[in-house]
Amino acid sequence: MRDVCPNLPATALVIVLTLTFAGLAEAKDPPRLYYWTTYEQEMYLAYDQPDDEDRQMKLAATLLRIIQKSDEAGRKPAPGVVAEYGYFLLQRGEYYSAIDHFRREAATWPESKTLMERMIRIAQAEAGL
Amino acid sequence: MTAIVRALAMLAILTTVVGCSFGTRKVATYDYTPYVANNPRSVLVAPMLAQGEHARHYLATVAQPLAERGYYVMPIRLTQDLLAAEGYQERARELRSTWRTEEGGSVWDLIDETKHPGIREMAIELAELTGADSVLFVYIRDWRHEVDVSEGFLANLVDERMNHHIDLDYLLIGAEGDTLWRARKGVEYTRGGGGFFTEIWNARHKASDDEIDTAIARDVNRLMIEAQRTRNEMTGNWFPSYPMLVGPYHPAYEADRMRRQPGAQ
Repeated sequence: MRDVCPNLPATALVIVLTLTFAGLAEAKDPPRLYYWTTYEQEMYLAYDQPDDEDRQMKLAATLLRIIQKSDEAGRKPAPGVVAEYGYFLLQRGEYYSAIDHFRREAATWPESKTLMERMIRIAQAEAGL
Repeated sequence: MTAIVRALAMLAILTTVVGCSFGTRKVATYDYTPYVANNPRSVLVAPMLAQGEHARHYLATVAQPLAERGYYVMPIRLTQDLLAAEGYQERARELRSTWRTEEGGSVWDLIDETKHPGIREMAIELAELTGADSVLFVYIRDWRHEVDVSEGFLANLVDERMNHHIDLDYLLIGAEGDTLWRARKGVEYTRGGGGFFTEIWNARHKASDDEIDTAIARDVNRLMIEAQRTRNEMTGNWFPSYPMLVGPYHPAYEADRMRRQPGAQ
């Protein structure tokens, strides 16, 4: 039988082990690397209602809360969050503050350097610098 | 009679051979060689190949699992606006419209240079523009809601039984144009139906289609990106798949890279 179907014992063992441990495999989510709070919900609503000022303000408040919470805990804010907040400021004409946030994103995440330099140039141009 | 015995014997042999051929079949493994060689640290989510409300569900829920996978994720909203202003959203739409005319095509065809050199060129351009190491394309193959009218009077009166179906294709391309990873996943979720008290409960705690869509999009994104560690909480099923490798900010980065090296087992 083994010659005909050599994987039979192994297959049976896998099935038994799978069934045995299936209940134990209710794996909990691993600890998160970053704070997110209500990022996804607010991001969706801001996308869904781009002309709703209140939604945009709520998204900005969420981004700021993530930054503050991360700072208090001495952790990096999640990738892109500081830049997204800077973009919000840019859209509101707060160019200098926007540039500060783009610089902070680039300093925190070197991978963002090219993009942040581009955003800083855009902010400077809009500010007439 | 002899013919019947012979036929039965042949059937038994055939069943054994076919059955065991499944048992001894080598399990296909995903070739992560280009992925490991490219070693991307950052991911840019490309403009969606299809726009609309479902694109928004996807975009709102993709950054978190990518970042938690250990990558620097280019800020989604900022880059989507920037790339739209640079004309890339329109180009993504054009790419899809040319592809869509091919009956039975899949997103994988898009990377076929003989058919669609545009998507590879676009990935290289986007990577250069933003400094991203890799570009993630997604194609919404299917995203629909269907009211199930087969559940009877009560089910449809109190709380419609609604089937939600999502089917997404993912394609990750390196800054030099190499295909690093591809995956496809469909998920179904049914809301409503059930017994009388379930109906009453559902009616009182009824989630909106938007909430369900966001939850499903989040679930699909996690399933696709993390794959082996994630279970679909709505259906209770585990989905074996080939996940994205973990990125440099993930605690398991080195171990994962070593495991995926060519020849490593």
